[in-house]
Amino acid sequence: MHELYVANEIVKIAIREAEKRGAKQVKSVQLVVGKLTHLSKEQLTFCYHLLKKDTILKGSRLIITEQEPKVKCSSCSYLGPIKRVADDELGLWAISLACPNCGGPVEIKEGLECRIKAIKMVVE
Amino acid sequence: MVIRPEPGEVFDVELEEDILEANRKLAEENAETLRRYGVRSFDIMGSVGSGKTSLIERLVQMLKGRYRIAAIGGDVATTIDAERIGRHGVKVLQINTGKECHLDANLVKKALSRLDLSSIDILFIENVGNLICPADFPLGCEKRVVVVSVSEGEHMVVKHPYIFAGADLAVINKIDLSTIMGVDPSKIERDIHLIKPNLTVVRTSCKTGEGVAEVAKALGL
Repeated sequence: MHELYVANEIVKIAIREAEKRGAKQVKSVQLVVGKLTHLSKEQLTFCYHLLKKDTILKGSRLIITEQEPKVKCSSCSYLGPIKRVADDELGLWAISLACPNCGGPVEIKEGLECRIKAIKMVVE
Repeated sequence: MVIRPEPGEVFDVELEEDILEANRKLAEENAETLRRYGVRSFDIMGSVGSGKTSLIERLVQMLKGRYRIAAIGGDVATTIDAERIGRHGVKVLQINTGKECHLDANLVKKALSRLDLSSIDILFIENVGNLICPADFPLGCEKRVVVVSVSEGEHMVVKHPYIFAGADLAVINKIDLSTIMGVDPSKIERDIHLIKPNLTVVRTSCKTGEGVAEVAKALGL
């Protein structure tokens, strides 16, 4: 629901980096979005393409890679995918912060990011 | 040595700049400011109508004799909630987000600069009524509290797992209505523990005051 804000930040950062290097064109922006955020890939792309008009980013692509959640357990040292639980009645799947191995509480290590990984630009 | 690209060359700039991290850093700054002044702070989240304001009003009534309390209210528009809390004789600041669906650390930072933190022991921040967006934007409070009421139906928790995953306390409110609503608070509690096994859950009725003392206790007040 806050994709416009996030897309605006991405555009600002990409323009800043392109200007810093005297680029004449930006080819693509690579973004990593964690699956534990509420950011929608489709809405981010939509907002990005709205905002890039009339900037150095026009003609650029936004490439989004989704990051699978990873958790760490302090009791048994489990490090890996988050546990998912089913609500059979509704057919829903929800995440669980219980360790898939020992049931203890886990800490989220990956899955909360919204990171610009790289920007591909053509330099004059 | 710096390797520079040739003219016309495609250049890959590696950045690793996180947009949500910028908010998390500001939240950490807010937390530091609040710690420095010894202010205990609580971010109250929940749907529209779940009872966030009522819970804060009850807590203020119960605790204002022992602590100096202030509150920040976040809403898209109006000062209705701030006025409700202000009636109990505590300092209240209203943030109107305009179009934003959540409070963020930057808005809270601005609000903190307008409060005399040295004259406050407890700060309640009422987030915008929303179970989605606030999850991505910590504010820097000591504890995040989610209020869910039985009148929202029994599936609110599994539909919004992330906000419960990030919470330090869950409050199931309006338990006086559970029979009328046909919603079993135990089912809500089970779902909360499915998502976060060690999360403290308190059942309340902010209408009658039941369970409010337990909330205060769970917050360490």
